[in-house]
Amino acid sequence: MTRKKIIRPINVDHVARIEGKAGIDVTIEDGKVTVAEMNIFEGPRYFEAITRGKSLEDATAVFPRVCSFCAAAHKITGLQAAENAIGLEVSDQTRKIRELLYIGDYIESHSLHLFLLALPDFLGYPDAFSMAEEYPKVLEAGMRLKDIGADIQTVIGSRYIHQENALLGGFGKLPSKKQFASLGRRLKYLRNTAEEALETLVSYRPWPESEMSRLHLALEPYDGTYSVMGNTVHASDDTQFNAAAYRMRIDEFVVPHSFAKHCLYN
Amino acid sequence: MMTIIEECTGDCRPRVGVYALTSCYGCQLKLATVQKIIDISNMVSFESFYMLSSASKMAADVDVAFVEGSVSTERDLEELMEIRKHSRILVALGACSVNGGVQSWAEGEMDHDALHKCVYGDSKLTMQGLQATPISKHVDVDYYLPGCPPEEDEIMYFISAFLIGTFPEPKDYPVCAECRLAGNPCILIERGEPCLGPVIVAGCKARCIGFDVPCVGCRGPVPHETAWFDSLAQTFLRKGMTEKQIRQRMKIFGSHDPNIERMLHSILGGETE
Repeated sequence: MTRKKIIRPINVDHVARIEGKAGIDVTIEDGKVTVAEMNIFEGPRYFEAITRGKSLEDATAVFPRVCSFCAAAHKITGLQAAENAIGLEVSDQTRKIRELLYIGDYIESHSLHLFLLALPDFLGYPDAFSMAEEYPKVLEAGMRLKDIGADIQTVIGSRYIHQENALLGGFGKLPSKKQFASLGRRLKYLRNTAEEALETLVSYRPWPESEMSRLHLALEPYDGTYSVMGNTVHASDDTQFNAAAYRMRIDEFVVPHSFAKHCLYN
Repeated sequence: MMTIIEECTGDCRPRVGVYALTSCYGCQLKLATVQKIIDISNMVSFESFYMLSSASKMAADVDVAFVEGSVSTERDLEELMEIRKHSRILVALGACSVNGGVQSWAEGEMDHDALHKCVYGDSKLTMQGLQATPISKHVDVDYYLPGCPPEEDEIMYFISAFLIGTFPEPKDYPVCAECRLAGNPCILIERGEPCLGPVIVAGCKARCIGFDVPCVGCRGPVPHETAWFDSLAQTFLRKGMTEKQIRQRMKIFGSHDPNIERMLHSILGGETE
């Protein structure tokens, strides 16, 4: 007598609380996962194609529109690529202020993802609004961190979504010393808030340890600090490569179920 | 006839849906991060807002739907039709929804097959992408809230107008009007910067020119066919820009404007490519 195979599909049509549109399809046959697909059905915008033959000024204005949560990252990376292509060296001042803009983006994006998008899952709410009634303090702390990240970008970049005040070679107008000092004071003041919020965050649940084999890539900061700019990429398998050689180390390929490509590290 | 929701000004909370088609999610992010978002969430009932809530559905019955993004896939089109069917008022939220967005930049230059080939090569996908279009090409749109992203005060104006049972009025004057009021020197006339302020709809208080950065046109052309692309093109030519530069810059956020090609043609002649 043959036992009937038990097939269980798990389908999530539309994953909520993420930037973008995605679904998940998983098939389990006799207790074994046979299909696990993340389907990015968010439409393609063809940035690689539409910027061909366009001026560098116009193209670099369009790149932040790749993603609103990390617009500054796309803006700065685009500017750096364009400057490398034409051999334009920027001043140390420009490099540092760009880095600060990038860090502002980092703080804003991570606070939003952790406190507004992810936390409701850990505490069992559909969204942050309903979570706010029971857990107002941690959400408020998260939003204050988001605010300082956003304000750094607004002061430097003109706004926190799609910064226009970051141009080839530098900036249209620089913030005043007073504006920088005021941001600095707020950052110092928020340090305790940030540490407390993080402790609260990790205390809510035992975070599961993934046992799957996986590979992480990270940029080595150019100055040895915890930063987001550099030229050397390190992998968790102890290999490293120059960022300019990424096409040799990272293979992009198309999968039929997703508008987003997949990557292989070699 | 302007659709309004006046019967909802008493105890009942207007039902609101916030949806995205193909975009960067910046308009929803802007909406979700306005200072008064908690107050708003108490005064309206968000029936669907995938970016913020897992208690969302496609499409919910709502009084007002805000739709971000362009129609860039067959699924976008199906979802947009569903949203329209279930919404009393439909607001196009942001540049992609209102004007097709930056993804329409190659409109008239590359068709969808060429775009697909450039990015995906000969690989076939199970889903069908489309040439990006503004949502008004497919459904009736009640109101337009422009910007890439929209400004906070305009988002508040739209929501407040619906809450008190009236409707938001569109702006019909260019960025230049606000720029003069802000007291900025004219970087187009005085320095020959490629500023699109004269043809772009106001509402940003000339944010970028305040940073000495020329307007890139993110709010889209002034409505009612009063965007004079031709006279601005003439000024740009006199300032030394090439025909290609002029055409490309005006089309970043304006490629679907029905007048742009005709007006540019009268000044620049045919496509330069």
